[in-house]
Amino acid sequence: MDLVEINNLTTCYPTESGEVKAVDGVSLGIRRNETLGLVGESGCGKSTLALSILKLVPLGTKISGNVLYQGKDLVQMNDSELSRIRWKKISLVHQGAMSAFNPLQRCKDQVAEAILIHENSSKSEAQARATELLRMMGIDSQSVDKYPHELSGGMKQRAMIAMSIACNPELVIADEPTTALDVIMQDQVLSIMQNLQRKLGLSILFVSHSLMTVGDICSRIAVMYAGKLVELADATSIFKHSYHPYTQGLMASNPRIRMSKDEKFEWSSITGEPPSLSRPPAGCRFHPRCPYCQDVCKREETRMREIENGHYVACHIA
Amino acid sequence: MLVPYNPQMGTLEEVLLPPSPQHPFGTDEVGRDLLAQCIHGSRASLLVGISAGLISALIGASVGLLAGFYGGRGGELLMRIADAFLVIPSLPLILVLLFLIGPRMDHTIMILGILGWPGISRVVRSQVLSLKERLFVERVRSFGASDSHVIMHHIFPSVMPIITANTILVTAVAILSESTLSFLGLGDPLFLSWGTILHYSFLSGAITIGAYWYFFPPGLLIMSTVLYFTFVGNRLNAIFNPSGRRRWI
Repeated sequence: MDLVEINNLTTCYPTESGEVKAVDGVSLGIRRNETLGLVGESGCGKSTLALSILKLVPLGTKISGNVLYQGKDLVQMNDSELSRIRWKKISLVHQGAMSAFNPLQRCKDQVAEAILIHENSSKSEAQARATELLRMMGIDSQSVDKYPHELSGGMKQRAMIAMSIACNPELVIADEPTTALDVIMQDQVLSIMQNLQRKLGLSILFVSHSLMTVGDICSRIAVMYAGKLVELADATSIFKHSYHPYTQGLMASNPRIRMSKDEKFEWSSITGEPPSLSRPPAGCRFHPRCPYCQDVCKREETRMREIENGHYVACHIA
Repeated sequence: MLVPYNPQMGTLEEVLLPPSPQHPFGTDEVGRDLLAQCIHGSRASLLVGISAGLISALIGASVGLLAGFYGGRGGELLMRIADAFLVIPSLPLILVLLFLIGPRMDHTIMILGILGWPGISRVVRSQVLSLKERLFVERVRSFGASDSHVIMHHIFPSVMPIITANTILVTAVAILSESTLSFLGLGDPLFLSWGTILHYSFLSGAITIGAYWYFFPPGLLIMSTVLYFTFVGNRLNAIFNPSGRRRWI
């Protein structure tokens, strides 16, 4: 059984120009001990999906569908029921960890705060645990007493990861944890997360806009486009052969380094722009940009179907 | 204490004496030492000012935090009440209220305290409005923290400096108001304040007969104390206020 099962999840933001369906009928299972990558371009709803799992969406946002965790539906829970799940069972590494720290508190106190909220430990115990966690992330014992502005971006990102595992959660949702870092820091953060996943038996939902980053550490990859899931498969399977034209476009827009000499690489991009989520195109949402578009694509909405064993695609023609 | 005279007792042989080595500030119309009076008067003036400032801070900070954090209809209502308090001309209102419930020091403190909160609540609310949207607040919420935890551990410490600066400014206003009230004869008859000394100097015609030592020292003390609180408050505001405005006075 999956650790977290998302069924037909739809998240609507109310705006002045009508409702925006940032996530539209997504079904997805997150297994135990796996790193699931969630990829898509900016504004495709991947962060909204990640935040909707814990109902951490702005007031007035409508969520429908189910998020099943241990047989219970998180969508139907109220705040006090959710507060027992948040961070203790499912934690979150926020997008932009640089500003996710309170500038007035020491680094270790903020990590300890998460422990104090969920566990009946004393302040000094929590601080000792926090220091230990931060040390595990390679933050030296002097820096744990520092204020956030005294730490570098990479250190803050690592401190944020330490915070996310402070209460031994089962699932960590990492919302673009490497986005604002340089490649060396990215590599470090990725290997930290990979180690943690193995050591603690975590499940990680890794949200990113980069297929290559996700391909590095994820066992399965889900691709989102304009609020909908378009492809879901094992990482190897998706890199070997992707079926959805959007995923193919994402692949083709990345340079390949290990190529044989006589192989010629055509670097291409996906033409057009992502559609507006308040007035999405009819039929398949990708059809205005799709090189293989046919009549059926303009009329009928797509559904996820299993095209190979464990490889799901939402495309009429694949 | 500092002077060997009782501020309440005088001798009729020493009426309205100008400053001398025995009486550095001179004496009043019934022969009481004015230095002793000025020193005693500082107690009432500062007590009223600081207590009223603290009451204002308590109400203003709570209203500002609640209105800013929860917003909605309730927050809007609280802000309209604050606006109403801001537009009422305060002096006539205080005069009427004190006349109705009696000129006692605790009454004065209460009234000045209740009239001083709207300014603080507005500043605090606007800060809270921007603070609660910050990512670290969202992060603490995703810990599963309650609203009260977020307010007490994150929002309140962040607005504390601004509350302090504005409390000091309200204190300055309260000291001035207390002096005004005492000068107008609405001071507590049991407690001597700088305003009360001015009141008696006015009644005894000190200005007409040129007894400058009777009204200058308490007047200067009021002015310097109010200025002191205002300068400190404004400076703190300039340091703490994130808008970066530099106001000196």
